[in-house]
Amino acid sequence: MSDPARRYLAMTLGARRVLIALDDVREVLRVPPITEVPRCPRGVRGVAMVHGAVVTVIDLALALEGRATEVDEASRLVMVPAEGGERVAVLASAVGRILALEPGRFAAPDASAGAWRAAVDGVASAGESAPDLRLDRARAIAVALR
Amino acid sequence: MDALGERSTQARGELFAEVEELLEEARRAVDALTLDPVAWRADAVFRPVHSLKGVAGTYGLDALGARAHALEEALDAVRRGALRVNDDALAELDAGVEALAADLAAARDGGEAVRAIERGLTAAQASRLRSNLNAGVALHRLRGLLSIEGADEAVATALAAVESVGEPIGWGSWDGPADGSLALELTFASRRGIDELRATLARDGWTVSTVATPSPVAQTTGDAPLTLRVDIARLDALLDATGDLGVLRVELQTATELARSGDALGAARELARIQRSLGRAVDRVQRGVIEARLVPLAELVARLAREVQRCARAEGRPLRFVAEGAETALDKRVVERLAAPLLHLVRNALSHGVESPEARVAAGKPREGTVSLRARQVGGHAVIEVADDGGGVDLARVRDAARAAGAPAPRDDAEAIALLFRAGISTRAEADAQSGRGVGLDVVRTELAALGGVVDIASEPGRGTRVTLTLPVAISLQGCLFVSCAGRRYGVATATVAETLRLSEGDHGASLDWRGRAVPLVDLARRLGHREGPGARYAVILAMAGRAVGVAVDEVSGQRDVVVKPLGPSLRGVRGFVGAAELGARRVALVLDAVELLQIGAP
Repeated sequence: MSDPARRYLAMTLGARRVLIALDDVREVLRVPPITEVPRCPRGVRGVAMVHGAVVTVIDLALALEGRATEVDEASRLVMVPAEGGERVAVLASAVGRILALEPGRFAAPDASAGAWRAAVDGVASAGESAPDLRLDRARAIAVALR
Repeated sequence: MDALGERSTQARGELFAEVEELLEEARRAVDALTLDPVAWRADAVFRPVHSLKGVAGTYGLDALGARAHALEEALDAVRRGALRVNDDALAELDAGVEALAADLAAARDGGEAVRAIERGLTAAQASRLRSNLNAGVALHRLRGLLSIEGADEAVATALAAVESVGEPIGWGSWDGPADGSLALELTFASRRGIDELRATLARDGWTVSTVATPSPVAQTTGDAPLTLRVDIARLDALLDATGDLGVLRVELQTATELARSGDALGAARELARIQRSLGRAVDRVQRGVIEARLVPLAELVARLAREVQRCARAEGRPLRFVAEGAETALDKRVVERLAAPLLHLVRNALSHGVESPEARVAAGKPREGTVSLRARQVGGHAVIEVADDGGGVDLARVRDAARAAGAPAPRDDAEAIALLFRAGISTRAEADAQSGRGVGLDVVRTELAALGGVVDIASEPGRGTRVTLTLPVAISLQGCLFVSCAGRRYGVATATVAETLRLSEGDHGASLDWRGRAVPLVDLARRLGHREGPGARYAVILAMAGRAVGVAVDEVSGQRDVVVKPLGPSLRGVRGFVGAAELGARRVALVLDAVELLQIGAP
């Protein structure tokens, strides 16, 4: 018998479709005004007010592909837990469906992950297009804060 | 009996709360180190462990102190770069911190009575006993003398009765009369009061007694809410202000009706008047809430006095503690956060400042050493001085220590004193149980900076040392002056703003003339790495505790009272800001770290 499937939220980050474990997602929000923070790590887009708290907004496309995510009607903040009980916001160009995938569908990240290799722990082939990437939450946050 | 047993519950509470906090800090720092092993984070583990050692030494928790000392040695090696951080070293640090936590738990709930019970229990029973104590459930004992015949039935009945009111832990025997009867006892945990337990269980010759009640700390650490007593007169004033708000609401109704009836001019006049009154009423509410949060330093001062007395008793030294201005009031949360730095300073004064009675007599001073605390309010700031009449800072040794640590040689005494704030510089040849690795003062400075305050040290050889803390009285609602710079808005605490000047053509150098003195001028756009904006037209002069600095900005857009919220821990590496404030419509402006800017303007 195969391992049970886990559920993932599909997000568009930069040029890739990135899956994040649904267990890691606390909330998905429309993007409030983001205030840039001078001299901050390069993967940090700025700070925003979410439920009365100042949260750090990270832009993985900026950190890994070098191109800032454009904020528009489709973009969203995906709130994820970080170390020490903090919540950080991942800026996504768009948020898609929830998928259920068995662990066996993922292979170890290889060259197909490209610039994202440092922030993912699995790739799942998706037909002809570039494979889906499975986000390693802790490493991705660490990469953005580097 | 351990050294803690005789202490008051309150002192125990303070002690364990302090140790728990330090432990948590060490844990977080180890976590951070695991993620990204760089030297400054090793420092972040070192500090709480060092403070913990000091507290353990103070209260005679020797096992805890010894463990902290060993861990500190290891961390010091990491910090000095003698030991490389690898997975093994991290595992060891982690184990060290967890061992500290275990020692603390043992010191906290390990009364002799509990340990005696544990000896007679299986591991599983002991574990249930601990988990009950940790959950704040008291332990009781049901004792009886049973005749051999019918004992089984009596035991079963007693067990069923106990299960109806709590959790049985385990059976044991006690030293009953040697008359052939069975002396049995059942230890159990229950949240019910002792009277209720007696009513239910004390029959057929059974007696009930309480063995252990968990220390109140065990129940209050963690997310204990911070509570505050407020003078009812202050709440009365607030109530008055809300009454005024109610009146204004009715008047708004009148203005609306005027507008409806077509009297636009009358409505406008009425609205303008209401707006003014509303502004005044909101000010009163804000001021009232801020004042209600103020508490006097007195409680904290009493704790410092205890610390001095304890040291005098423990070391047999004649010591005196003098306090002035204990009525000075600060925001409750500020007072909470001041406890650790002030304790640190008092311990420093006792272990580094005040000499031995013999040395004092030889120097022609009274045998009795004095540590004093003087607090006063100056405008929106509190000024707190901790002074001793000891030997003063030994600057020659500071220079030696700086040389040994590879720091650049100080050019004058002021620079030498400033070195005391650097991590890793100590004048003590060997670390002792209380303090003395040179980590104390940089911790104090960091804490004060977090509160928006600064630390100054003055020392006179042979006469003593005085450390002065200057910090804002309130943190909750802050007046902020908002400025623009390269198209972005930033706030700066008005408590630190002395004046706003229009810059003239010749004023764009590295300094400007303010009230007859040359003050450094910082170009904010350049400092924050923004491209040059339309050109700075104003200078905001920040001044505090004798320091002053001018900050060149494009525009000054006005003052507002805002709640400044800290940036997330993920941005702790970012310098220059104390937090961010919401400006309405979810727009956020960063608030500049005035203290950091003022360091540029140190005299």
